[in-house]
Amino acid sequence: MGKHIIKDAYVSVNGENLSNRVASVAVIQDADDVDVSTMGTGVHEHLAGLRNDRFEVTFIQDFSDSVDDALSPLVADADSQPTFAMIVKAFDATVTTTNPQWESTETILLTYQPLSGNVGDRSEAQVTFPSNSGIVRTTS
Amino acid sequence: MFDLEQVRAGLKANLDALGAAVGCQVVPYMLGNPTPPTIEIMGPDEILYDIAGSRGGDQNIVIIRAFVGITVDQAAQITLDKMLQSSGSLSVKEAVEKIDSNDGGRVTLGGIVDDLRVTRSAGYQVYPQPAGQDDVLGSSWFVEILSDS
Repeated sequence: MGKHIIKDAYVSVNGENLSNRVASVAVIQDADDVDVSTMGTGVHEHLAGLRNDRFEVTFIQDFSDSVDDALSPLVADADSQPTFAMIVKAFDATVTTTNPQWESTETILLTYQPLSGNVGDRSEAQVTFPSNSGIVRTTS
Repeated sequence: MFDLEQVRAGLKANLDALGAAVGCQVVPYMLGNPTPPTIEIMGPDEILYDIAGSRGGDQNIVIIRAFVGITVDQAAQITLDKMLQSSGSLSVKEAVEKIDSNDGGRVTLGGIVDDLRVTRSAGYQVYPQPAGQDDVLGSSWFVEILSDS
């Protein structure tokens, strides 16, 4: 297994496989960049601060028992802040060293735009899923 | 699954009433020597595979072509003008985009595609004919179709 073209990524949101409605996906493992530079070194020094892991997905919107039905109930507000599992794999197949999986069991949905676009555009929803825990990579 | 044979039949069905009004035949495939007036479903201009992962969908651009009459015929030009309009009883765009589904106002050709839109026309086109025959006036319309794979 070597280089590959993204065309069969697996994306599951709250236990629902939405892969065939995903136009793009990004797994972002990110920490705050805390500057701990001091006098005399001449260069910036960095430490990882708080983590800010998230998934970013562009869905082809589907109001027929698919994307919108899956995401609308998950939108958080002051009274209800559901967290849910989200799984992304490179390929829709068994997890292996050549098919790693990234998972968060504490994903939250803060912003959702179910309808957005210009006349004539394909209806899409660009969604960011912040994680309240570090995204975990597994290979088995 | 996107089935081009069914799409051709569906587009033809949406155009049949317009064809009857113009007095022309509507055919689902290209003719070797079409006699105007004729509307034919020419076929795909472009296919974008994998607009969604896991073979979740494709986008097809299908061409509809009409041969209206000989170029010097004013009546043919009048007819073509009306066919090129975005709406009206002879509008190709309006005929093709006839909503046949109560499911959100999409144009599904009887449930065989997710949605479609006539995005543009090539405008006045002159189709050369064999020596001794008058050139034919017509146009092409490009239909963007979204469907499952």
